[in-house]
Amino acid sequence: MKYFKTTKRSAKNAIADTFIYILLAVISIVWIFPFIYLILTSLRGESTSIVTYLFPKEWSLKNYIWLFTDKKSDFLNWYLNTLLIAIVVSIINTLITLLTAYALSRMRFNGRQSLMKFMLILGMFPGFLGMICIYYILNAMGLVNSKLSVIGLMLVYVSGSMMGYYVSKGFFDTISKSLDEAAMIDGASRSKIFFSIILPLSKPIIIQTLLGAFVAPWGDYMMANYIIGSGGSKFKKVAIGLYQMIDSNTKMSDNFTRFCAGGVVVSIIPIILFFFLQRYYVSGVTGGSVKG
Amino acid sequence: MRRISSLEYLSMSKPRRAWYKFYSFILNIPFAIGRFVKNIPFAIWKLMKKIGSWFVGIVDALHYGNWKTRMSALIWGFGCFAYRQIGHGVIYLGYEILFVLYMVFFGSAYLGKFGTLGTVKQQVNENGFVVIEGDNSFKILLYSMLTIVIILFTVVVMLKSIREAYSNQLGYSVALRTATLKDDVKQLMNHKFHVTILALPSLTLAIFTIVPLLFMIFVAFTNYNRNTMPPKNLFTWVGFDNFASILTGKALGGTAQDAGKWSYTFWYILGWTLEWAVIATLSNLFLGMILAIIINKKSIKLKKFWRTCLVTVVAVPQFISLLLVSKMFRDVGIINTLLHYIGIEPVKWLNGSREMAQIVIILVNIWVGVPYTVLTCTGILMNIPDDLYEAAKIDGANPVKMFSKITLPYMMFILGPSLITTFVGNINNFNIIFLLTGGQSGTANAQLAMSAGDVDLLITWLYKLTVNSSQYDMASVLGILIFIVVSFFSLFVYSRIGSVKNEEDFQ
Repeated sequence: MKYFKTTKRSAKNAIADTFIYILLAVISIVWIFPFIYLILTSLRGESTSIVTYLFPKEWSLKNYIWLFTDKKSDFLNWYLNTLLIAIVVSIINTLITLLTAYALSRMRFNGRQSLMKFMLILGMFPGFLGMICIYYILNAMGLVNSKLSVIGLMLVYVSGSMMGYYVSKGFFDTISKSLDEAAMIDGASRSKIFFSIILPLSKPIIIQTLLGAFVAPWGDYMMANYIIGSGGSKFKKVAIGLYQMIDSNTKMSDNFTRFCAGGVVVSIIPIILFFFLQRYYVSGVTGGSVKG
Repeated sequence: MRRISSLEYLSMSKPRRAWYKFYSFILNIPFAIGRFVKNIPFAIWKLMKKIGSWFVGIVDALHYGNWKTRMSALIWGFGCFAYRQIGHGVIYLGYEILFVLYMVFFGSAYLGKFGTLGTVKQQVNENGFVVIEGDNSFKILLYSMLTIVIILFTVVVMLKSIREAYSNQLGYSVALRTATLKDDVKQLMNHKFHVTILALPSLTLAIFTIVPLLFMIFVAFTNYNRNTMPPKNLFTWVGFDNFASILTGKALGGTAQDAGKWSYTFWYILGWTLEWAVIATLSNLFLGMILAIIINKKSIKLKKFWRTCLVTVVAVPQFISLLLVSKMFRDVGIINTLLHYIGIEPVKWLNGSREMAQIVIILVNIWVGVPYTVLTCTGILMNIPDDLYEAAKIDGANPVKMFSKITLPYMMFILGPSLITTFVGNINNFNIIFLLTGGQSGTANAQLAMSAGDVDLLITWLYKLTVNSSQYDMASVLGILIFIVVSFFSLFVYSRIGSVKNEEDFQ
């Protein structure tokens, strides 16, 4: 009797599992399909416009070759600009964020609470609101739609980084204060404590902040378009360049496969970063809120 | 609503309890707002007291201090020179000289015109040459903001110089020496490390965030738009006209045109924005949770593979994936082609009716957003201690009970606070609306004001008002209204998160 019961249950489980596998397979196909479409289109050789079939009739790499070697294509410039911006911004941003978080987590000074409240309120304004004014300031410095617009964009991305202290502060709060006290008794200064005790302990949060600060400027369209959208093509970054490559119907028919090829190239770095550092990403998402 | 006793509450059935809780929460909102408003005067009073205590200290210093201390109210750093703090003195005095120079040659000229934002219009002769330069309202407003910020900072510096002189006077009579600049630099790496750390970021924050925001807040009270664009034209103060026309549809001073249209558009878009934020947040949360639980089921193999399939979306930059998807949903796009193979007529997805576009937007948002939730939930699920389940099993709990009593509460506990953050993020979700649809479905709505589309969110409308139609006054009003909406939801959470209140408990 007992034997009969277990087989019945396992049969039920097997049916449930099969059902789940089918569901997961369908979901995976739906989720992956656009990227398969992206890659297939980027490899299509016979026409550059959007077509009504999936698989290319002529497989070729000429879209990629066009992007990197053709005289009309500034893709390489865009790519290098974006890379430069993302790297510099992520480093500076991480430094500022961590230092701010450390100061707010460990030091007790006048106006600390008010500063935190102030930044909280500041963060609730839509970031784009001040853009007209920022544009004017950057324009006065000659950092808009010119050779130096890369620097202008970096300034825009870096300027607010202080406000992103929240998650890192949550992390620093969990590191015991007695570490600091012990070091202070041994005569270490605050700066020394930060650089040689706290930083080595905060690898996850460093990587997570770096990752976030790298990916955000890499994919940003809204801010960047206002600063560099209408300038010379060489000074743009990939998000703007690729958007403008297909923003009208005529351009669409010329450039759609090239856009796809560009999309593949642009996605490579974030994908690699993401899959290697995924666990840091997850720990970051939950890490800040666990203590709530 | 009648307050019920706890006994009555306990005698209710579960759904009734949930309903009661929800109902009383809704009913409590006005009281909560009332309490909030009531607290504002107290908060201001506290702030004034704090600022006042600063000045009390200064009055003390001036009253009990000797002549050297009193002198340093006029010549900053005098008290430092007198007590052999040459380095400090030079810094204070240098700052004072710079400030005076700034005010004389730059600041005062602009600040003087702050009340009118300029009166002299630019004049151009028939050949197109500028005859009279005229006032530039934009510059006047911007540099006035800058000057006000600088003046506030200067007041702080001045008070500090007096305080320092007084403490020098007191300290010198005891110790016969005062801190030198070298001591201070040492302190900057130690007890005053926060000053070193925060100085530079604060400066960039001030220049690129605070001054622009102040500027835009003031622009909301002017008529700065494409008809009054400096330097050719002047714009001026209009008080609350813009707010009145966007909120109520009645023009106060007659400066804003089509007031009715503006307010219609605002409420129309606000409605859709909230609708969208609620649906997007909840759909992502629940679908993501379910999917994470399914993938995490013990008997399912290839967990990593399934997760990777989902998570690719997170890794690819949104401007690529969303632009691509928007092209896939075109009339002759790949989706319609595939449907054609199955025998379904092509559908107008994004350029058909408004409802269809909204449905597609929400579906695409599920595609983009669910993997984030899956990632988060997987992390949480792995963190639930196994002994909880084992104990439940011994007590004879079935899987459904275990899910509803252990898994779900645990997840909601962690995801709860982040829910509102996600909600606010969705209110300001620029990418998905703009890159997918441009804010416009196929059917034009003639009643909408300047450059607004029928699936625009507040944030994309703000963007379009700024970039496409140069309606800066209305854009600023919109920005402030977005701030009010967002802060309403954020404050609610912020007041409930324990880690904010009992910060010291965790260390």
